[in-house]
Amino acid sequence: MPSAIVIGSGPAAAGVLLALTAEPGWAVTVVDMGIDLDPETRTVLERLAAAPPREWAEDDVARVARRAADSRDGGLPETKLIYGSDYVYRDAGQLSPLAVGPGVHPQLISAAYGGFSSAWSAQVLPFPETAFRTWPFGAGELAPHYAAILRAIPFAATTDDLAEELPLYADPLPPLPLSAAASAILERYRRNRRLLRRRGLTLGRARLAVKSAGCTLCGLCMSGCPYSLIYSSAETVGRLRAAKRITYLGGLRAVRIDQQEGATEASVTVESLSDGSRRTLSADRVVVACGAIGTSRLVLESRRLHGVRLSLQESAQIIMPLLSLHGSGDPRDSSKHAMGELSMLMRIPELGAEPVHLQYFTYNPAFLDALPGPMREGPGRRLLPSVLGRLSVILGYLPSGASRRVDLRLVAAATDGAPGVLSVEAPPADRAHARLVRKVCLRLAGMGPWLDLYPIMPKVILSGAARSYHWGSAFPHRATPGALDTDRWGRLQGWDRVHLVDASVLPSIASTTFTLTVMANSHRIGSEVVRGLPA
Amino acid sequence: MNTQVAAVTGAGGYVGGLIRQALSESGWRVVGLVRRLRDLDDIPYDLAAGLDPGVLRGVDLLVHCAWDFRAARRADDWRINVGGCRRLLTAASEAGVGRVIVVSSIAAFPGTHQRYGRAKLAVEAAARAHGAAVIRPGLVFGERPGGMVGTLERLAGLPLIPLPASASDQYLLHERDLGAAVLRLATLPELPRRPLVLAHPAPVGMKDLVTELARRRGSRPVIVPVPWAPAYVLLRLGEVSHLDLPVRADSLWGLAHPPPPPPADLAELGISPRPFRAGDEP
Repeated sequence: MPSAIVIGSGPAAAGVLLALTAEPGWAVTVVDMGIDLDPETRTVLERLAAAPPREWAEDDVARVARRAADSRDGGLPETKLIYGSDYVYRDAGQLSPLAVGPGVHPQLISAAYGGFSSAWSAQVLPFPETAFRTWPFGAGELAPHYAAILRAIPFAATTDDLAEELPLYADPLPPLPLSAAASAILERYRRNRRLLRRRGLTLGRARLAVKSAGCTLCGLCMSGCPYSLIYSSAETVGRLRAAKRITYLGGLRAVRIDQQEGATEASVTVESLSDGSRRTLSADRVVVACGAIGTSRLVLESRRLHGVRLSLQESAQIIMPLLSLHGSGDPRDSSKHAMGELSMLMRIPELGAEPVHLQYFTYNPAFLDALPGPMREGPGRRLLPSVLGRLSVILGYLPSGASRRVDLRLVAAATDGAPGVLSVEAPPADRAHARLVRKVCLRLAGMGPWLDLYPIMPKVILSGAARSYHWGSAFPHRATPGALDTDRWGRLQGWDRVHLVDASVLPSIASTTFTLTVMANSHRIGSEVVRGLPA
Repeated sequence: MNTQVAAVTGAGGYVGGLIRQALSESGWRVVGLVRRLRDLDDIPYDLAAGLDPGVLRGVDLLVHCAWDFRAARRADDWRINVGGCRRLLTAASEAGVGRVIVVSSIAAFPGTHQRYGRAKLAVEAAARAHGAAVIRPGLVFGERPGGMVGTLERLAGLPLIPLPASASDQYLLHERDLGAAVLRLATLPELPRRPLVLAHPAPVGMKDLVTELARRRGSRPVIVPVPWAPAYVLLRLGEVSHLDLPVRADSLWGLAHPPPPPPADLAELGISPRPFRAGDEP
C-alpha cells in the first residue's frame, strides 16, 4: 500500500489530504504540532453554541470576544485573538530562534491545529488568469481543483460581475446577508455600473468559506464564530480523522526531512512537544505543508543551507478607513455579521492586467477602538451614531509584483547542531509603494460621487512586511527548476519523494487572497501523485 | 577548541563595526545584530522590537552598541533605546550569555543635561543590574573615522568653518584601542563593576581637533569660532521641521558641555589608550 506523511494541518495540508484520501489505497499519516484552544474556553464555546445569542451569559461572551490591544504602527492589532485566545500564534518551538528586521511582522509560522486558517477572514477567491503568467501551467489546470476544494468546504457566494474574471467553479451556498451600508454601496454600483467598470472597478459580493445558513448575525465573527460556522482546515482534518482515512499524530514538530540518494522513500524526523524525544518516520512520499515560512525553515535546516537568501513574495496589505456622505443608521442597533461584505477589483494602469483587491468591511466593535477618545467618551459622543453609520474600512491587497519582498535566511546557531536562527527582513516601503497606495485611494475617491466611498487619506496605512499573511514563492514551481525551485509537483532537486505543497511553491501571489489557490494547488499535486508521476 | 561566538548589536555602525572587526581578527565568530543585513552572519535586530532569547543561545559574549538616533521625542528615545537595552539584557540572561559588555559613552556622566548622556546613564543602570560591564568610549578616531569625529572630519574639508563650542575640551580614543579594550574585557577573569571611561586623559580642544583633522586631509580651512547657543537653536528648528541635518542639536549640546577628565584607572586593567597628537598618524 503506498504511503504518505503530511506535515501540518493548515489549508495546504487539507487540500492535499482531500486528494490523497479521495481514492482508497493510500496510508496517510499527518504529523502536526496541533496546538488547540484551551479546554476551559472550549467549554464556554460549547455553551454558547448550544444557545441562541439572547440566552448567552455576558461573562461567556466577554471571554470569547476579547480583542487584542492596538498595534504599534496604528494598523490592525498585532494579534487577532480567536475566542479570546492567542493559541494560533503561540510559539511551540516552530518560531524560535527567530530574528525579524524593523517593521517585519513576527507571527510567521502557526503551530495551531488548522494553522492560520483558524484565524483567517475566510475569503475564497481564486487567482485571476493574469496571475499565472510566471507559472509553468495555466489557470485551466487548477480549475478542477478549485472546484474540488469549493465542493469540500462551505462556500457562500453568488454570481455577479466578479465571476467574469474569477469564476465561481462550484455551486455556492447563499451569501451572508448584507448590512445596510454594504447594500447601499452595492445598489450604487448597480446604478452606475457601466461608468464604474469603465473606470476600472469591478464589484461583487464577498465569497466566504462560511456555513451561511446557520448565521445568527451575532457580530462576533472577527473574534471567532461561536457556532464554528467559519471554515478552518482543522474541520477537514477532523472529518478525515473521524472517518479513519488518516492517522493523526499531534504534538510533534518536524525538525528534519530527508531522502537518501536513490531511495524510494523519504523520512521526517519529529520531536515531541511534551518530552523532546525524537523519532524518524518514513513513507513513500513526504508532503510538506507547514506554511510558506515554516516549510522554508524546515528545508533550509534539513539541507543545512545556512546563509542562503530566499526572497519571498508578498501581496502587501493596505488598511483604508472610509467615510460615506450618506449615513445608514447606527450599526450598533442592528444585527449584522462582521465578515467582509463586498469585494472589488481595481485596475490601475501602472500594474498592467493585475488588479488590486479591495475587501470591504462595515462596522465591527474594533471600529470603536480606532476612534479618537473624545469621540468615544468625550464631547463627540453624540456624533458617534452618525459617524459609525458612515464609517467603513477596506483591507486592500496589492499583487506581489507591486509589493516589496520578504527576505529569509537561516544563520548558523552559536552552538553546533542547534537549530539555526531564522532571519527575516524586508526593505522599508519606498516612495513607489507610497505612490501606489495614494493612487489606489485617489482612484476610489474619484469614484466617490457614484459609489459614496471616500478614503480617509491620513489614516491609510501600508501594513508592515509579512503582515498580510499572503506570502510565499520561496521555492516556486518552474518548468525548468533551478537549485531552489520546485517542479510542478513541488519537488526540489534530489528529493523526488518530498513534495512541498503550500504557498512556498506558488510562483506569484495575486491580490485576490491566496488560501483557495494554496488548497487547489496542493490538491492538484496530491491528485497527480495518486494518479502516478512519470519516472 | 570550539570557536567562541560573540554577538554585537549595531555591528553595522561605526563603533560596532570596529568591535566586530577586532573580535573577528582575534578569532571570534561574530554575529552582527543589525538593522540592515550586510554580512552572512548578520541577524536583523530592531531595538524597538526586542530579541528572541533563542538567537543568543550559545553566545559567549554580547556587546551592545546599537543606538537609535532617529527618535525625535524624548519618550520615544527612552522607550526604544533604554527599553530596548533592558529587553536585550533580559534576553541575554534567559539565553545564558556568558558575558555582556554595554557600550555607553563618555557623554554619560552624573550631572549631564544632554538627552543622549542621560539615556546612556539609564542604560548603564540597567547594565549594572544585569552584571554587565560598561564602557564609556571617548570620541573615537582613526584612519577613516565615523561617528562624531567622522562628521568633524567632513566639516574640516570646508574652506571656512563656523565652529561652535570651539574652546571646549574633548577626550579621544583610537579605534584600535577601543577594539583592544573590548578584547581585554572579553577575557578578564572578573569584570570591573565601575563604568570604564575609555579615552586618553589629555584633553583636545575642539579647534585643535578640527585643525588636525583638516591637516590630515590636506586642507587649511579658516576656522571662525561662533557661539554654540544660536547654532543649537537653529539645529533644533531644523529638527522640528524634519530636516535631514548632519549634526543633531543634542550632539552639539554635548560638545559644548564636555565631560570631566577620564580617571586614570585603565592601566591596572592592561588598557592604555594612545593620545591624539598632531602628527601622530594612526
